[in-house]
Amino acid sequence: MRALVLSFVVAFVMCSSMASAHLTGYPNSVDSSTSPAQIRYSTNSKYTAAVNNAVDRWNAESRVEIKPDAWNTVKDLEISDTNSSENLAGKFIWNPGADNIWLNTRYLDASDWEYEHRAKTALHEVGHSLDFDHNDLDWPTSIMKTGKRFQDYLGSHDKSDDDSRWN
Amino acid sequence: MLEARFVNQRTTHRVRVLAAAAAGVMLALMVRGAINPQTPALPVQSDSSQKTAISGDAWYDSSDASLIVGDSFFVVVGEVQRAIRVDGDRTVYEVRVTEELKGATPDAILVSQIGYREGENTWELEGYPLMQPGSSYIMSLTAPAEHEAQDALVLLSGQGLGNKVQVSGPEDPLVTWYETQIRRARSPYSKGASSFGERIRDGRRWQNAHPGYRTSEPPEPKQ
Repeated sequence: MRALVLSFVVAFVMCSSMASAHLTGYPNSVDSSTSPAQIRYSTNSKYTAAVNNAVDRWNAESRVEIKPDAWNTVKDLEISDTNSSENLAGKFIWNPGADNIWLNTRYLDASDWEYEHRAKTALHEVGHSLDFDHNDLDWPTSIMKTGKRFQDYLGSHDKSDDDSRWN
Repeated sequence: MLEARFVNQRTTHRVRVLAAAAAGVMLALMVRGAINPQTPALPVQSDSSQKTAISGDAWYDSSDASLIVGDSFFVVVGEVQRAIRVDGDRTVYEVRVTEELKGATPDAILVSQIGYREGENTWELEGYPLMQPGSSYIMSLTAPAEHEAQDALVLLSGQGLGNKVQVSGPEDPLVTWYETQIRRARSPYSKGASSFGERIRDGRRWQNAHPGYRTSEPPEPKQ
């Protein structure tokens, strides 16, 4: 009887933890053929501090390694800037080759945007490349909620989503 | 006989354990559906093409129609005629304007929406499918930036009732609702924000270059 109850509880807990993660369900940038899984990226974005912060924060948390592309690796992700009138601060686009993150200078350079706002945008877009979707959780629980937000670190929900997905 | 009965009992026990585990899995999935409604479902594919995602970070609440119309120069009800080209990651459509809700436009305009089709694959901003020829939508439009294609207005990206809402035509009740949002239009910008200044400059450049249009400028930021 105890074995039955234990089996039920273990199966329920394992499935619940996986099911609560906010995943896009779309293709992502992660190369799972390597061990550990990796994202190889290149960047010509002028927002060096924000991009480096995003890479460092996600690397500190995730089992996926985000590393610069090298001559002997296949690039998975390219981070660039654009100036667009669309109302997006950033966007992630999956491609058959390397995926793209575009950071919109119209807003990231705006007079009322500070480093932490740009950092949040970079964290958010790299989060998409790691297969994380938008959610509706308030600051500072998650940087995967859309919007201009003053946050340069991952929230508790971002970490738990990463645990569910990659660890 | 005793041994056979013992084997049967062990088998029965294993079956029960597996059944309990399966029940736990099923219950977890049912609970997930109940408590995680915000997890988006994969888009319903209207054709056999592979749909992939563009994930965008709208910098204000793009589900708030009063903010979307507050960020626009034009709001129209338009019937999509056809897609004519792809510019980068955007598709340009010919649109027949059936009603002007904000600003004034010619009857025929070009509108560019984020997303595109290439071969068997479709790229769409998640939650924001590509417009379909023959369908009518409420569209909140802004002028393109200086280096973007200057013949097409840019469809702002909204979620839910935020923008590009499909309607049956100008008589659709949603059109009336949208008119109230236009009266309540709010600026998503901070007072003095340089990005608001860029938005206004784009609009005035468009106005100067395109006779037949009358822009209705976004409201001044208040905060």
